[in-house]
Amino acid sequence: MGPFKASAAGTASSDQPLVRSSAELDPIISRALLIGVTISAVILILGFVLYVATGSSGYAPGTFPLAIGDVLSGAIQLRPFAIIEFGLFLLILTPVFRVAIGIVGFALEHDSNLVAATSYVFVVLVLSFLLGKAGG
Amino acid sequence: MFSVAAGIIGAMLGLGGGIIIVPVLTLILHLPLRDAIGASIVSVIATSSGAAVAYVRDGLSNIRIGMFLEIATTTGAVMGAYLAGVLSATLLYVIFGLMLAYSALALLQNRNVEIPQVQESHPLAQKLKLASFYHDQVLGRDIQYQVANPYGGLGMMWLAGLMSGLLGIGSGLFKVLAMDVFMKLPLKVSTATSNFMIGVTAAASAGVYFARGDIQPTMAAPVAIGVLLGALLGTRWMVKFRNKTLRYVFVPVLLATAGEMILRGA
Repeated sequence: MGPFKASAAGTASSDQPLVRSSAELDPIISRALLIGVTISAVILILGFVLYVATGSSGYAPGTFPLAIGDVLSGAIQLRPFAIIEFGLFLLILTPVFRVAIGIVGFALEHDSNLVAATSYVFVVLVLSFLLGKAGG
Repeated sequence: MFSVAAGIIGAMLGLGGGIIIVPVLTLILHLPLRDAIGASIVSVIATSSGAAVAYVRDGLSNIRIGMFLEIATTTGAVMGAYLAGVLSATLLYVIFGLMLAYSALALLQNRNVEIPQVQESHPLAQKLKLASFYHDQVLGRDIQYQVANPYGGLGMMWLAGLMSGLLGIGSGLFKVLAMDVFMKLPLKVSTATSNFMIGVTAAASAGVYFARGDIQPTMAAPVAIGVLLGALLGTRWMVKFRNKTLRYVFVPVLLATAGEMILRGA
């Protein structure tokens, strides 16, 4: 079912058409990563600029927010370290986000093998976050 | 500046950049190892996501191969995290160091291979439709490639995941080697696909480091921004290299890492 693309620029096996294994999904995954990276970079830069400009982290020296709730509420109050942590949090979630997009994409292509593989990866990732035990 | 360089090299070789970030932060800037590893995890994710934007769009990363092999890396990472307290870290460093040194030899043996010639994909690779093609800028033509030995690749990826779970260090090198040595993919496809994958492996552990407070905002923010910039540059440059040239860059990196690991264990 893979998309076929014939090309004049043949290789060693020039009698066969060239096959790209994921022509439809590639641009979508690429876009998903670009969105994740751009948003987190903008937030990171904002937080860092604010930190340098105000000279204050918004928290007691040597401390910064860790729990998701504290990060979010701190970011809304425009505390520099909370904004940075929020940006880092989004950056960490970007690969998870693209795995989720992968599940949907392969499902739309009716590719049950890859849906199974990607779902497994997603479950393991979510579990590792919940259990807080996985290394990487 | 260091993080820009780490991003460039990481994006070009399919590594996380931890190999560069950790020694720079600990040896030159004298930061504690825990903070350095926290920053390097952020750098791995930034390199991976930043570089994969271009590699996936241009078809250099094979996302089907990547997502298939992530089964093994994530499983290995979780198992590694659980075994971390049981196995001796020093012994592991020596074992993995020796494995890397051995792979450097394997890579050297193939030093004249620009595109591996695999006539037919393995039946499992055919079933999963892993074969693909990419446009090689240097050779100026599309390169169709087949996929050998997916089970060997899975096994090596499991080791890569296990290593990162056990030792908390990036496993980009092992990922590249699994695809290069076992699955016989073109080296550019191996590095680009490794790049695509390392973000997921690192994300599996990032949550832990984040919650433990090992990711210092003042360090992680500039590192992440620098690495993202570097990754953008690295992807532009990598496609202009020959696979052979890339191979020559790899060998010293492999040997240096192998030496570093054996020393840490000894």
